[in-house]
Amino acid sequence: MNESKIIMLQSITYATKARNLLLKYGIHSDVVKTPKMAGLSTCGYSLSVPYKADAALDILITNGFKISGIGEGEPL
Amino acid sequence: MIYFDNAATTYPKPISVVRAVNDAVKLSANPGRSGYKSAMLASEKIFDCRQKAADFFGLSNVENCILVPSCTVALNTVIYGSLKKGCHVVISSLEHNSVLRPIQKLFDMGTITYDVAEVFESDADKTVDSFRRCMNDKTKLVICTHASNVFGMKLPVKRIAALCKYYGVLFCIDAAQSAGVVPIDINDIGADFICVPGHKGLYGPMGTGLLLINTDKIPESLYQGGTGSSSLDFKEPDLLPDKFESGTLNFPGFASLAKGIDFVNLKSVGRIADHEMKLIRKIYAKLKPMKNVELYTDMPDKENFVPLMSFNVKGKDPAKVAEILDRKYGICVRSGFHCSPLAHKYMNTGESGTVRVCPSAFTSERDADILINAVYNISISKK
Repeated sequence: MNESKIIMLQSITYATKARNLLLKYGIHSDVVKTPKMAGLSTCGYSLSVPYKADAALDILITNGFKISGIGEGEPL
Repeated sequence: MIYFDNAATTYPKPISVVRAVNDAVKLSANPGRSGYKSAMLASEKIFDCRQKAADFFGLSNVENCILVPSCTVALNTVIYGSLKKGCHVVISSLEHNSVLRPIQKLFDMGTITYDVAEVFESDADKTVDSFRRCMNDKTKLVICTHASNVFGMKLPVKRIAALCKYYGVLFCIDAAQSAGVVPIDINDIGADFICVPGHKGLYGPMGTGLLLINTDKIPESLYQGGTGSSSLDFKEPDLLPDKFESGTLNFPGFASLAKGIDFVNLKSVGRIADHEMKLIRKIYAKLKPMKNVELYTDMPDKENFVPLMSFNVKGKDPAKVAEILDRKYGICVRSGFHCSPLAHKYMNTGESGTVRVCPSAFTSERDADILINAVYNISISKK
């Protein structure tokens, strides 16, 4: 599965740190204000991962990031 | 103007630092709150500063690099946030008021007890033993300066850290005078906390400081408020750095502190230290034979000192000497007690204090020559 995902992290610091880590694995993502989506609480920051989202998630979990929520599909 | 008050704050600041302040004020967006372009750019710059600072001090977790308004705030966070009733603390005989006063306040409130470990100039064995003898089974925290802000002597922090580790005691370093002129790797030293000003050896602006946390024994935060995270939660998040960064961050300050760190990295800590130590040794060597000038330490060297020193002109009040240096020669120095009563007690300079000189990366040989000449003239003057 290589669908895009919104991966919510605990804070903007963690989101930016996660983005930089993914870049080292060749996975591009953007830090975004968490959009209103099913499965996500707003008022926080997420990574928008357009490609290889499952691999990105694995990398983040393996590296000890706490995932606050995962949004799939289009923002509401 | 010839500036030798770099132990108080470095001057001038690199042009990149000045530009970064200007750019950040123009951008004027609140980092870590909103999602529009300028706010995200501000957040990027804050992260950039945090990452650079963490890398500079060898801190592996960027989130453990806390951005605070000053070194004093960082020290107070460790002291008030870590100590509970009945705790015992050890400080050194060279502490600045930023450590002494919060410790004294907790002592006066009946919360803690504390002891002062004597520092022995250029004798690490005796200094470490002094700290060891002050510790007891209630000791929770050892907190000390990395180097005296009055006399420049360094403390053997790596060995004190090892001592603290052995006894299971938290160890905090006040790096106010060492950051930027002494290579500091928090893991190599083994400290639990390092507190750093942004506006001294890191060449950032005032209103910036760092609290580096290298332990899982996280202090309580001194204040709570909005963090831009977990907003629906009534409780402050335990998450770092948010726990200690409630309220709007000093975005212009930290955006430009990142440039200050770049400046130090570009020059390198070693080269800056060599340059400043060369100047301070020259000043020391020229002042030493002046019969009316009093010096208080051995010749400073890189192993045992940071590049700053104190002196007095016999029979002249240090404030008067500083005034003459300013008015007649355009030389900026600091006189008095430098917020360090313990250090003056230690050196028997408690009556009127000292005149302190400290060069920076921007200080030239010519500046040093003018200072030496001016001090000589003052020392032979009958006025």
